[in-house]
Amino acid sequence: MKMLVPLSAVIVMIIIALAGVEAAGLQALFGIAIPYIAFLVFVIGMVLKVINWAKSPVPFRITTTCGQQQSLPWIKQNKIENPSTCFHTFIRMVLEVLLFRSLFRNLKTELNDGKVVYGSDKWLWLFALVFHYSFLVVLIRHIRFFVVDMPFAIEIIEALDSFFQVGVPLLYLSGLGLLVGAIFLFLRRIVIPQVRYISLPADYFPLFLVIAIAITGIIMRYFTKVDVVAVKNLTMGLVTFSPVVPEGIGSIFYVHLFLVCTLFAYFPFSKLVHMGGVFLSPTRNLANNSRMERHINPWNYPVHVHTYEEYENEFRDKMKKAGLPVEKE
Amino acid sequence: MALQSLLKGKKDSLLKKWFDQTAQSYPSQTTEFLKNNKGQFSNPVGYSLKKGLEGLLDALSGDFNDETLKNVLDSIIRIRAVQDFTPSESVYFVFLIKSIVAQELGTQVEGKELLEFNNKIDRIALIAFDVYMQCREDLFEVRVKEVEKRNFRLLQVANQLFELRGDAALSQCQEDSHTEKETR
Amino acid sequence: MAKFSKKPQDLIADIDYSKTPQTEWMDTPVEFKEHTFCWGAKGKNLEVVGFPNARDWSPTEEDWKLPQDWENIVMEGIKDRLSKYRSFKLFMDICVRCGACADKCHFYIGSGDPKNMPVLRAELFRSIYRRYFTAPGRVFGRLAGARELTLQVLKEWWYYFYQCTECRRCSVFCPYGIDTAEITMMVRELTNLLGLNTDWISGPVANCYMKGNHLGLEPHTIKSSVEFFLDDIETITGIRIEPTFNRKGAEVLFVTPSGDLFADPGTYTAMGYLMLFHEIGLDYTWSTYASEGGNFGFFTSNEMAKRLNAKIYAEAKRLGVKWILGGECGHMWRVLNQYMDTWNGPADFLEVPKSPITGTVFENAKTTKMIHITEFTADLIRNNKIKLDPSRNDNLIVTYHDSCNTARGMGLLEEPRYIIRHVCNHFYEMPEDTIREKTFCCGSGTGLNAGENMELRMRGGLPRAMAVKHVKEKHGVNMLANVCAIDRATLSALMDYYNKGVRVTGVHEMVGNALVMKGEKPRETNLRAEPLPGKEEA
Repeated sequence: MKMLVPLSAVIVMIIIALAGVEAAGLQALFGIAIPYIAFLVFVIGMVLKVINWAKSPVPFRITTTCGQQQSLPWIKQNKIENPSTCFHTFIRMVLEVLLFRSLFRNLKTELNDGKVVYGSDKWLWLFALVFHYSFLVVLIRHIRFFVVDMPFAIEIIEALDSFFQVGVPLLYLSGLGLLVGAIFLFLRRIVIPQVRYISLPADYFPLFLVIAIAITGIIMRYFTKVDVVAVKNLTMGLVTFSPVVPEGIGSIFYVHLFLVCTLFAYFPFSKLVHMGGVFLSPTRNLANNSRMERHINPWNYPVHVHTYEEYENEFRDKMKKAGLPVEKE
Repeated sequence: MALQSLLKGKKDSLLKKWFDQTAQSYPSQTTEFLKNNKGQFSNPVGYSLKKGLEGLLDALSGDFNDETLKNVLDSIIRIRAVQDFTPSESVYFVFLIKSIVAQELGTQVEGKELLEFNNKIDRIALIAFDVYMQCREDLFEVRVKEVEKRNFRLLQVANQLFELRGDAALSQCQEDSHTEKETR
Repeated sequence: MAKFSKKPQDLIADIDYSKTPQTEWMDTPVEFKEHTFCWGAKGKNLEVVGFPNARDWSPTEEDWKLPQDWENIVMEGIKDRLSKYRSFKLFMDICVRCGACADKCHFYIGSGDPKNMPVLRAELFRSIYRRYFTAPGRVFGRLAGARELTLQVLKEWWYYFYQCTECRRCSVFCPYGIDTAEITMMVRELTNLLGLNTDWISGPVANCYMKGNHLGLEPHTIKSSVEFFLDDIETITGIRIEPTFNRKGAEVLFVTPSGDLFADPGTYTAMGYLMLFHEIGLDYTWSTYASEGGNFGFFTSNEMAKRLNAKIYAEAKRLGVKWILGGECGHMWRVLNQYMDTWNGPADFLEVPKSPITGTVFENAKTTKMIHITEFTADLIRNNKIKLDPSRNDNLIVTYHDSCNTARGMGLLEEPRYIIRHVCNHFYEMPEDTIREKTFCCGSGTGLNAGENMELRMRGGLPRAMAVKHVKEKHGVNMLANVCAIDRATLSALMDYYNKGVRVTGVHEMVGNALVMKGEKPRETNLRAEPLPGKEEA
């Protein structure tokens, strides 16, 4: 059930795209209208999401400290795991965002019966990295469809990506990495019982979507050899706001594009917003310096307290008897 | 003697089955965690269980004495005694080995030796019962002791008052609580 | 949970051990199991601090005597908190359920109950958030991981969010830093809107509000209990110490958890403080009004925590001290480090703490103006200002337990260790994955240190107990040191159950024992009135 619904959703989407293009001839809808809509939904959705988060203040410095604090000068502070300056917090965030440092913490060796045993969670870190970086490289590679002249940087990335010079056309590692990463993340969800138990349809759906996108992409590049020039005509039409529907693009391209559009449109409403959220996480992006620098809570309001005066009024006699100083005799 | 060496020879597979079947007394997500995480500290329940069952197998195939059994059983039951188990569920794992041995060794064991083996399991079960009761008693003892510690100074003050005033009522109260403790 | 339902004759037969079918968590209703939850709050204690829906109630009864429109109260409460806390909003949205946290929680490790996995604990709440606050949840319902708010759900929240000790261990491993402690705090705030607190939390809160400390000690009682310590110290050292209370014009205000004034073995730690301050001639005072460092209000609501915390600065101002020194406590220090100044500051009437003995200025506390006693004492030792004889602790083989809050909400890791290394000769660390930022909770924090939930506490404390067991077997450890008043009480129980023979101590009890005081008589016993090593009678 949890897997069936998202799986059928993806299949239905593939059928819709196929049927739309092949039977109904709705190339313009799938090639022009939907991409525009999806892009708008993505951009506006994400902006609104981030604004929505940002609207709520961070009332307290709730840094999760993972190392020695700054205290006496002769005690070595762990400046990255327990930063007290902006710069060190920045480094902590960079490591977090680019290297998934907290996940890496799961990589641990354990001694069991004198043998070193490795925690299985290191795989999660590794494949999460593979998955996310492949995704990034794939995205960057696709810039070639949206610019007239290829920027040099992208050419370098493409060259590196096809470093092994295998196959014709050259095999991109990122495409493979994306597929392998997504499949690993999926298998993990069904193999590890705890993770299976906590998984929701919303966890499977994006994975199926990404897997389908990767597969359709790979098919186009290596097997059906899509007409790249025609595709570029279409994409350039989109970016120059003079959309055209070139002839001779296979249906599989529209399926690929439709799935990508779905992913983009789905993005702001799903857990995928962690892409933006990771930068805002208050337990990571704040320095642990609340004893050094005052942190202001914008909604701090006065509260009822039991004052010393009230306290002394209640206990004055007892205090005097016990020889404790009092304000009023 | 033959049974003992058979048990020794099959120790690994017996242990694995015994462990797996015992681990199934936990929710299924947890079962896999208990089985797969080998960490002594990241998975203390699984680790203790494995060590404990291994100890029991060693005892069955070698030095079978009450003191060892008690210690080994304690390492398993002390944990199960505070988890979501009824008393019988807590010690049920002992009996699992009977059918596992029957499966693994089949007809190689019979007659007097089988009887002897079953008697040993019964012995383990009885000790397990003792251990379980001991754990539960400890648990309640801990509760009582904690209350006493929590009010350590308060009791001291009360005692001093009692000494100063020789208060009959207080003394009565103290005696009461004393007898109560002894009868408990 | 698998139920044992085999008939005796089945035991010898060949049984099919296939797993019991497990229902999805949304379909698994909460079951209140004896010894795993705390009693409900008493009406009178809620009334004292003005909490809503004050009445006596019991968690096991069907009727929780909720207000008519309790669903509305919860919804408004969620809305309000979402607008106030970015952490809350963000943590609702960004979890990808990767499961990295799943096996990091001491309660999950010790109980095996899947709802104790941090991610699932959070999902108990997140499912409601999705249903009422997100578009996909409203439209797709359960498919989007959403569910309706029902009385069952509320009860489930109460059961499981009072089974989280806000220890933040999961937050260390989460790739987005999602902190279940934040979520637990929010849900506990919601339960407090309905008067659903526990007796063990609301009692101390009421006490602390009216009388200044959790135990409800009145001013004269505080003084007399300290006098008890003074008698004992005099017996042991021959020195009569005369501390002051509520004294205006002292340089330093000392605030410590009230538990140390009454509960064994915290009392010995308090004796350690008294001896140390006397020996260095610190110009300080105790306060009977701000007589609580801990803050059980923190386990009810942000507002209540602030109300209780306010006494510390207020008293410092009234007495005209220069700065504040805080005793050994765990959650107290998370509050002091991350909340106090924001709530009740600025403390511009105080000065940046400067040790009058060594001249060290504690720049790291330059706005809060409150330092931790282990920072203070480590500085004394570093500058050779006190004379220590660690051999007096030679009977102790010590290991050190990092409190969750000082480790993950502050980063106080080396200071206590530095002191321990100077006051005793046998110190061994527990395994790496169980200390410092990865420390395991005692299993009884956030007001779970009651008696009626002892089974739960023993489950939660299991990982810690097993790590201690390891060093006990390996190095013969017999003393578990810590810097937390709750630890001192609860680890004692934990050790009594799992590791008999291992006792519990505050760091400053060991300081008190090792401290060579000017003019003291040759010591025969330690602070527990046990003979010192080498002084045992033949």
